Parts: sequence; structure tokens; C-alpha cells
Amino acid sequence: MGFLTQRRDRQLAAMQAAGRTVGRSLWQDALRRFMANKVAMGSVIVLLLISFMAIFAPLLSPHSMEDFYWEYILVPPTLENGHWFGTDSNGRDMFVRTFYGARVSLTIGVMTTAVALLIGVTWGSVAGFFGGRIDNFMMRIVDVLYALPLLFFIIILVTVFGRNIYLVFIGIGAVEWLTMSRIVRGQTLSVKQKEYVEAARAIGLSNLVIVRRHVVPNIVGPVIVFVTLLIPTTILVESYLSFLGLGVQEPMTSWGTLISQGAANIDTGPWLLLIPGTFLAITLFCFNFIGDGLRDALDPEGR
Amino acid sequence: MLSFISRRLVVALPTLLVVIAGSFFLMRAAPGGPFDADAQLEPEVIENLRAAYDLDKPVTEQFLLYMARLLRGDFGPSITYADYTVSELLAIGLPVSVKLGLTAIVVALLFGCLMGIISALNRNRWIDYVTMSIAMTGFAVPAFVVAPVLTLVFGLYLKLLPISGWNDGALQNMVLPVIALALPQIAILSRLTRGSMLEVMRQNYIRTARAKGLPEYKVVAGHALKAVSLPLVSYLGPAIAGIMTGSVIIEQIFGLPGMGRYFIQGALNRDYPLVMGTVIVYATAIILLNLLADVIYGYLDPRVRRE
Amino acid sequence: MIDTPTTRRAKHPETGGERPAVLECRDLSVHFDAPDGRISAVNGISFDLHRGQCLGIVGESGSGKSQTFLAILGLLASNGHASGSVKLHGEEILNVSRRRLDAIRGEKLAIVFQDSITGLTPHKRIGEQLAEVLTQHRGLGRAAARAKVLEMLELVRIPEAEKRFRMYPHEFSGGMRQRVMVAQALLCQPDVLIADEPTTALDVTVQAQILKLFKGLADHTNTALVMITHDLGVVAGLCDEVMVMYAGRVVEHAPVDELFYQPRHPYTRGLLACMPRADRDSEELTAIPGQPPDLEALPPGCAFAPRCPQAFARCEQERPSLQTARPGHLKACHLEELP
Ligand SMILES: Nc1ncnc2c1ncn2[C@@H]1O[C@H](COP(=O)(O)OP(=O)(O)O)[C@@H](O)[C@H]1O
Ligand code: SF4
Ligand SMILES: [Mg+2]
Repeated sequence: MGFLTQRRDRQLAAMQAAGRTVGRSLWQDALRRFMANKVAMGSVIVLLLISFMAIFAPLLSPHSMEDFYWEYILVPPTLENGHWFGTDSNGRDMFVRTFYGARVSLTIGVMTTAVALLIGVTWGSVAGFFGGRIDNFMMRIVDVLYALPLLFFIIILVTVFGRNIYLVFIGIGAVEWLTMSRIVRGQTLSVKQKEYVEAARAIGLSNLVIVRRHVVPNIVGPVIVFVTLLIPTTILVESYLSFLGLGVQEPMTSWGTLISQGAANIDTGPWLLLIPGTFLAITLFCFNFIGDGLRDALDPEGR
Repeated sequence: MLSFISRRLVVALPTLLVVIAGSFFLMRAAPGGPFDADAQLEPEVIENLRAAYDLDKPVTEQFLLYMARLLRGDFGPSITYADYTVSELLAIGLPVSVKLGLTAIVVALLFGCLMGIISALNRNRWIDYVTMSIAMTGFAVPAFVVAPVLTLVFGLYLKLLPISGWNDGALQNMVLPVIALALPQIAILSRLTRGSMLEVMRQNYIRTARAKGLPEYKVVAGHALKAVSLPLVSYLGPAIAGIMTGSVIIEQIFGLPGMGRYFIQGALNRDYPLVMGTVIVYATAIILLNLLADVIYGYLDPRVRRE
Repeated sequence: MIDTPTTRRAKHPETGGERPAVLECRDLSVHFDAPDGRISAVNGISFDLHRGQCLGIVGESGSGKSQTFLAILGLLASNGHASGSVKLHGEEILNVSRRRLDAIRGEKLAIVFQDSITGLTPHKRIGEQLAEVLTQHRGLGRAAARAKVLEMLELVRIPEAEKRFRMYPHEFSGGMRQRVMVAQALLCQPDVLIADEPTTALDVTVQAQILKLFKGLADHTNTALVMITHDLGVVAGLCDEVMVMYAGRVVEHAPVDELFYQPRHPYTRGLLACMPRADRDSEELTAIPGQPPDLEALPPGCAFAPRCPQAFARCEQERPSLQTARPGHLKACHLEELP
């Protein structure tokens, strides 16, 4: 859980900071500030490029990810034979495989984050909105789960229930919602105590309207920042599991699976590790820069 | 302080129980069992085997039996490694993992804090940028990419260090696994230290200390360091968890006979007692070390101790 | 020597010769580097401070009161720069080495900050924090330092000093913490004690007690006291002389009685008009309409002009310099007399 837990502090701080901003024009200001942040905008462009390639490279390439080219086994990257990223030990084209892996890794990252988002926002807003005993009980559960070595549970889950990609979504998502629920609860609690919510209640607005008008806009900022930091975390967990042979299985592939195969061939074909490894690292970099950029844009005084 | 510790222990025990029960029932809830793979076994043999491991009884009864044994300090026999008890396997794996993990933590703390402090003291100078770029890289390049690259460079190209094996924990066998394990933590710790240091040095009480005429080294050592270390201590728990999960993968890559290997093997083979044994040891370690971190925190911050 | 109220009063009663000032500040300016420009927080301030004197510094928040004295103590933030000259017993102390500053701070120049909650190190026992001042400057051993600290704690009326010695800041009330800060500043019997809004964070009764403490100090010791405040009421009871600051400049400098009964500057008069009285709420100092100017772009003329009821054409073009209105009374205003 190295990468699960290690980001939590930072994320939590970032969220709480970003939580202070609300209001229409503030959103526009935030967008303007974000656009002015060269590193973050550069990261957006790089990520868009990678996503574009993830979608189209496997479709447009003359090779398919499962074609075996027996005459090209473990050929290093070159521009001459059409295998730009080289081939693996089965003679499969690494260019297609890398971007196919990107497709799977990014999808898992987004889907698992969606799972975590759903659970976390629901749990946190219910706890924060009702407060009191309910809140106490729900957050105590979160505390206990926080202290558990949850990645070990994911490993058990995946091994005993079979290595199923949906299980990976659910497993990681079920672990990663904890921080999200804390953030959302904190925001909900603090918004609830604001005078304008009291006022809204006094003039008889229903809970639903209050939540839509006042609670949601306040939560959106921190949640967006958290999501951009959670996606790379989940991508990383997926690669971790796949590296151990517990995640994505052949014939499907992901960056983690590719890196694992690369590590096995590190002496004969280092590019098999270096290429997917580099793409993974670049992606993680980009998400982190975007997350930092969003946080700074939403909370300019925090810097 | 004693009551503080005992209060924490009261929370720790139920947590451990949740871990035990959680992993126990999780494994039994799945269809299939440890002997599925052995297609050549006669059904009666399998029945006998199941009976030998209590697997024929209802799950709750199995759990109670397991707990009763556990209280006597008995983790039961391993299913995969038929000649060993789980305790014997742990006795082989635990020292390896502990040595690896502790060394990694110490290395990470040492380098992380050092880099963070140097960075903070040279804020916005080139040395700060260099250090923080290294940290950022450590943040984004996972250990399972770093480790093979390290073996490639130092083992295969430079031929300086062995690329795998434990060799009774000889120094040259430890170097690469420890670096791979510590790097991500160094990245985080150095960023944390830098941030904390900058934050603390902005505090009013630092200005007060300077206004008293204390030289800067006394200001830093006497008034800043404790506060600087607080976030680091809070991060100790997650850091330890990170090192443990990291070591599962690092042991795999470097072929080290640690706990992580038994855990993965156990999980893959549905070796219930072995998985339970490793998970319990991991969880206990995490819980105890978190407790230790809490105690250190309480020692450093008088406000926490009181409540 | 410039013609400030102090220098005039400081003539030796018998010989008529001039008594040297403890602290001489000449043309002190402070600016901060900001991302989009340069903030001029203090612009050319001069004054003298004599033994046993109490000088009040008043002005709205942001007028540069704190930065003036932080600059004197060499405690500006890292983006701040000071220029001009500050002499302590004739020795230049502005922009000198850290070593030199360390020898002066806490020993000859001491300061009490406004916020005692964040101003004391939270994880260090009060006793240690105080004793280290003596260890540092007087080389006292543990026991001797402790005895001296206990004595000082009693002097500032902290009950059960023995017990308090071992306690942490968070175990003290706001008033008690402020007393600790005062005790800490007084340990080495400094020549100058600067109190930067020492009562602002406290409630009214505690404020009165702390002020009494300062009053006793001012009356019974030779320490020169600088009382920074935005509360003219504090000044009235305590100070001999007052310097009114606006936008980083001194706009009026006069003996306290004169300032109260015959203010010469429209800003001072504005401050007096909204001085909190028993029958009003105490937070009304900001009641002068309008905002202080942007320190990154000070107007060429009088900085107070946009808010000044008496402003006339000249005020916007030409900056009034600080001039003698009457002997011992300085003001920076184009008007000869206030209407
Ligand atoms: N580190 C800094 N960077 C930029 N501006 C600063 C800094 N510190 C103080 N200032 C500015 O200096 C001005 C004067 O501040 P100060 O002397 O603290 O006012 P006060 O009269 O309330 O004590 C303020 O307007 C503030 O914005
Ligand atoms: S100089 Fe003019 S604007 Fe400034 S205070 Fe005097 S009258 Fe007012
Ligand atoms: Mg101030």
C-alpha cells in the first residue's frame, strides 16, 4: 500500500485547502489560473496525446497486439522494420502492446476511481449531513479500515476469487474510498454550519435543495483535485497487482503486465521494461502535476 | 503517558481481530479450496485431507478452532509446504523481511530528512530544485520499475552487485533491494520534511526565538526540529505499510526468501493457514508500529499527550 | 540631531547639554519584494528614544508600525529589505551581522509580540524558554537561571511560579501567556522594550492588567518603552509621546497631551474622533471612511488625500514633509491650522 497511503497526507491537505473556494466567478478565475500554469497545461496535453494513442494506435497500426512475428523475436526498437518499440520474446509488436496496455491501465484507473468516488462521496456526505451518532459510527468504521493493511486484502480477494479484471476495479475502489469519504464529510460538515445554509433552512428549503445549491458546489473543488490524484494511485495499484501476476491476465495486457514481462526479460530486452515503465511514469507525473495545478488554481492563497 | 498507550492498545486489539476475521472469512467465502488443483487425488483422499485441516466443519466452527489454536500461539500446519508448520515458515521468512524492511526504513528516514532539510534551507536555489526533482521522480517511478533497472545497471552492466538471492543478508545482496524499497519513501519523506521545515520556520515562535538573541542553530535545534518532525512521525505508519507492501514485490523481484513470498505463494495455492499466518504477522507489525508512532508523537507534542 | 519632541525635552536640566539617545533612528525605510512589484511598507522614519521614555506608535493596521521595529531588530521576513540608519548607544545596528544582532537582541533590545498563543514554542516548557535567554546572554548555569526566572515570573505577577515553570504554553491562559512574554523580554533588563500590540488579543479586563504591568515598568525602571497599538486609549494612559503613522510614514509626532488636545493632522483628528469610549464598541478605529492606499503604488501627493476631509488641490501633487508645527510638535500636512 506504499502508494496508497503515501499520497494520503498530501491529498488530504490539498483537499482541505481546495475546499475553501466556491462561487461561479471563482470557478472562472480558477480556470484562468489553471490555464496559466504551464506545467499543468503541458501535462494535460501529454495525457491527451497518450489517451489519443491509447484509443487509436491499436486500431491504426498494421500490427495487432496478438500477432506473433517469429522472424522478429526480441528485436530492439528501430524505425526500419516497422516495430518502432521493438518486439517481445514472443515476437509481438511492442508499439501496439504498449498503447493497448495504456488503454487498459487508464480505463482501470478511471473506472476504479469512479467506484471509489461513488462510495466515498456517498459515505462521507451521509455521515457529514446527518452528523451526530450516525457520523460518529460511520467515521469510526473508516478509522478502523484506515489502520488495516488493505492491499493484502485485495491480494487475497483477487487470488481466491479468480483474477478477474472487474474484481480489480471493485477491490481497489473499495479500498481507495476512505480518504474521499473523509474529505467529503469534512466539507459537508463545514458547509452545514455556514449561516447561509441555516438561512436556507430557515426559509424552508428542503434538504435536497440545500444539498444541491450549497453542499455540492463546495464539495466539487476538493473532489476534482482528489480525483486527479486518485487516478494515478489506482493505476499504480493495478500495475502492482499485475506485476505480481494477480491483475490483468493474458491475452489482455496492461502497463503493469508489460512491466512484469519486461522485468523477466531485463537482461535480453531492457526496452520491454523501459518503454512501458516510462509511459507509466510520465502518466503518473502528469496526473500529479495536474492535481497540484488544480489545487493551486482553486486555492491561490494556499501557496 | 501509560494511560495514553493503554488507550491505544484498546483500539488496536479489535483492529487485529477484524483483520483476522476478515481474511479468514474472505478466503472461505470463495468457491473452491486448496486441493482443487490436485486432480489426480481420489475423492476419499481429498475428504481425508479436508478433515485433517478441519475443512469439513462449518465455517464458524473452523474459525473458533483456529482462534483457539492461535491463542496458544499455534498457526497450524501449512498445506502447500506439507512438511512445515506455518510457524516454521514464518521463522524462515520473518527475519529476512524484518532486516530488509528496517534497513529500508532507516535509510529512507536518513536520506529523506537530510534531503528535505537541505532543500528547505536552500529554498529556490538550484540544490533545492535538484533535490525536489529527484523526489518527484521517486514519486512517479514505482519500485517495480526501479528494481529491474537497478539490477540491469549495477548487476548486469557494471557487474558490481548480485542481481538476486539473499546470501544470509550479506551487504552486497541487500544494497539493491534496500534502494528499490527505500526510494519511493525517500521521495515522500524529503517532500514532507521540506514542507514541514518551511512551515515551521514561518511560525511566530521562531521569530520570538530569534528575537531572544539565539543563534540560528539553537533556533532550529531547540525550537523548530520537534515541530518539523511531527508530520514525519504521523507519516511513519503509512511509510511502514508502504515498505511492507513494497517488500512483497521486491522479495519477488530479487528472489528473497521473505514473508512476502510465502504470502503470495499461500494466496495462490489457497494455503489458508499460511495466508492467515502471514497476514496476522503483517497486521500486528503495522498496528504495533503505528502505536509506536503515536507514542513518539505524544512524546513530541505535549498537547496530544494530555487529552 | 533632528528637532523631534524628544530631543527638545532631552536637554539636560542643569547643563542644557544634550543627553544622548538610547536609540536613534534616521530615515528608516522598509520595502518588500513582491511577485508583481515592490511594497513600500515604511518610508523614511526618524525618531529618538531616551532612557525611561515611553513612545507610543499608533496607526491603522498595515501602516507599517510592526515592520518599523522588526526592521530595527533585524527580524524582517526574507523578502524584506531595510535601509537608513539605526544606532543603539551610537553604534549602527541596521543590517549588521547575525552575530552582532544575536548579542543585542534579548539583551539590549527586547520585544513582546501581540500573539502569545503562537509566539511561544508549543513543545517547550515555559521555564526552559525563559531560562535560555539568561544562559545565552549571561552565561548563567541551570540553577542560577532558574532562580532568576522565578524571580521575574513573580515580578510580572504570575502565581505559583514554581509550578508554572514546568508547564507548557497551552496550559496557560491568554493573559498569563502574555505575562510570560513580558517576563521573557525583561530578563536581561533591556535598554529598550518594544511592545507590539501586547493587549490586542486579550479581553478587556486582562488588557487592563497587562497595561498596568507596563505602566509599572514605565514608571519604575529606566527601560525605554515603545508601545505599538491601534488603540489611542492605551497611549493616553501610558506614553509620554506619540508618533502617528499612515501608509508607512510618520504624519504627526507630539507629546501625548498636545496630541490629544491639539491634533495638527486631519488623520490624527480622525483617529481621535472614532476613539473607543466607554459608551461605544471598541472596534471602531477603522471608522475613518475609505481605505489606506496601496503600498505598491503610493500616490505622488499626500497619501491621506483620498480620505482627507480637508484635502485641496496641492495635496494631490505635492507630498507634505514632516515639519515643526510648534516646538516639539511635528506634522506632515499642507494645512497651517486645522479648521
Ligand atoms: N513579508 C511581507 N511581504 C510583503 N509585504 C509585507 C510583508 N510583511 C508585511 N508586509 C506589508 O507591510 C505593511 C505594513 O505591515 P505592518 O508593519 O505589519 O503593519 P501594522 O502597522 O499593522 O503593524 C502591510 O501592508 C503588509 O502588507
Ligand atoms: S496634506 Fe492635504 S490631504 Fe494630506 S492631510 Fe493635510 S490636508 Fe489632508
Ligand atoms: Mg502590527
